[in-house]
Amino acid sequence: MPRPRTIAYIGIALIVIALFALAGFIRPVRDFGARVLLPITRVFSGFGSAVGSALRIDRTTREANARSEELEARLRAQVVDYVRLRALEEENRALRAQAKFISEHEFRTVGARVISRSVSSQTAVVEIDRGKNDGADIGQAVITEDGFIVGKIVRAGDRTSSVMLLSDTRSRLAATVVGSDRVTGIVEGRGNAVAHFTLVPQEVTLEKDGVIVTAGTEEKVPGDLPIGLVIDVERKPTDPFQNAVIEPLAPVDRLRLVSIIVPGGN
Amino acid sequence: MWSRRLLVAGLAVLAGLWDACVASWFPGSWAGLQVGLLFTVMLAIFSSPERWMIGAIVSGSVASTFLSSNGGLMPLRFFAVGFVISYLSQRLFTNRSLMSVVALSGCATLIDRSVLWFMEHVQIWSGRSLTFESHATLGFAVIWSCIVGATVFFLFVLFSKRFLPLITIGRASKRMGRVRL
Repeated sequence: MPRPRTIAYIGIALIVIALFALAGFIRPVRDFGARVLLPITRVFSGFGSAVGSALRIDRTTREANARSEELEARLRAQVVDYVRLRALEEENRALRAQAKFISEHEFRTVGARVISRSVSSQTAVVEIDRGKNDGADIGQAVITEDGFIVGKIVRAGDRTSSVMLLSDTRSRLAATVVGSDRVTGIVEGRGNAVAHFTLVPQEVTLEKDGVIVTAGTEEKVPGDLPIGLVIDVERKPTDPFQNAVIEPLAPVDRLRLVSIIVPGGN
Repeated sequence: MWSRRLLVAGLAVLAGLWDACVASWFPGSWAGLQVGLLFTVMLAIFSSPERWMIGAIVSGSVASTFLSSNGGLMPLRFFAVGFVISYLSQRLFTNRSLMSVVALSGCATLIDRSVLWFMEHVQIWSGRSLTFESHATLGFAVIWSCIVGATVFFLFVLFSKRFLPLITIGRASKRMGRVRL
């Protein structure tokens, strides 16, 4: 039989937790905990990511995976060059047309480390060690070292933030085909590291291996950030829109270091 | 004793950090190699209510601070599981045998999953946007909790002689001259 003292402890603890939650005190407590423990989490997450990588690699497939990663890296580099060239071409055209235009939206990047992952079949959110104190805010884009967009910030604490990855079923991102005349569609997450490019007008040419980039129509997400490659196009003549299955270019399983794109020049 | 409570709190912080920052990186069912809940359960079985309560609240809070998932309400869930296991260990599984410890560990995982399922579905029905917890298959989680339970039991036997039969303790005391009946 539980002692009266035990019951009192249980009651007090439950009441305190419930009051904290109701009064909104959980967030300051969470931020305080994050501030105190953040240095330790970096060590733990470094260890966790290393062990996680080792667990992913079976001994017999280690060599094949290394080769595959090398080819993937090469492909990503090619895509970066391609997108950059197309963006430069377009930028050149735009600058010529608007010679006196001064951009009001300049961006800088803030490096961040992924400290934990909450990835299930439907949702995919990671926690990073940068928050409002570092300039992070809800809606900002997060990219890899190569410049591929990973997702957007959906929660910004003082010291940490949550980043919803593109494959999360709740993720929506305005996008376009690289080099097109800014006709956009929406990249929607479908879970299991897959995303769909939807609501694309029929007149836009979608081809396999075509590169999808951000449209730049969202306030905190600059344009021409590579999102992924088209791997399949779903087109029906009777529908007003076409859809495409895309494979995100950012290596979601191996995300360790990312950058937040923060509005405002250096 | 405050020193032991502080030690429990420190270990609970480490357990919570392991769950959030290490186990969450593991692929597939390996992500189920979590220790926060099992730490609470072991305290509920072998230690005092004050300690398992500290363990539940601290490890759950630390893990939920650094995990993006928001549906599981980890401190409350760990607390609920600890309470049930503590009750069971005092009323039903009072014999501290390997079998009872393993049964309680497996039972804790089943209760945890049930409470998690209930909490997530209540929030889904109320229209809240949820980030689900990533967890292993139920079979993997039960096996992992049983392994941890058995290991802790064997460690207790090895280092405390708490569960040895009296005759064994008598022989051991004669040989070692340390244990008093």
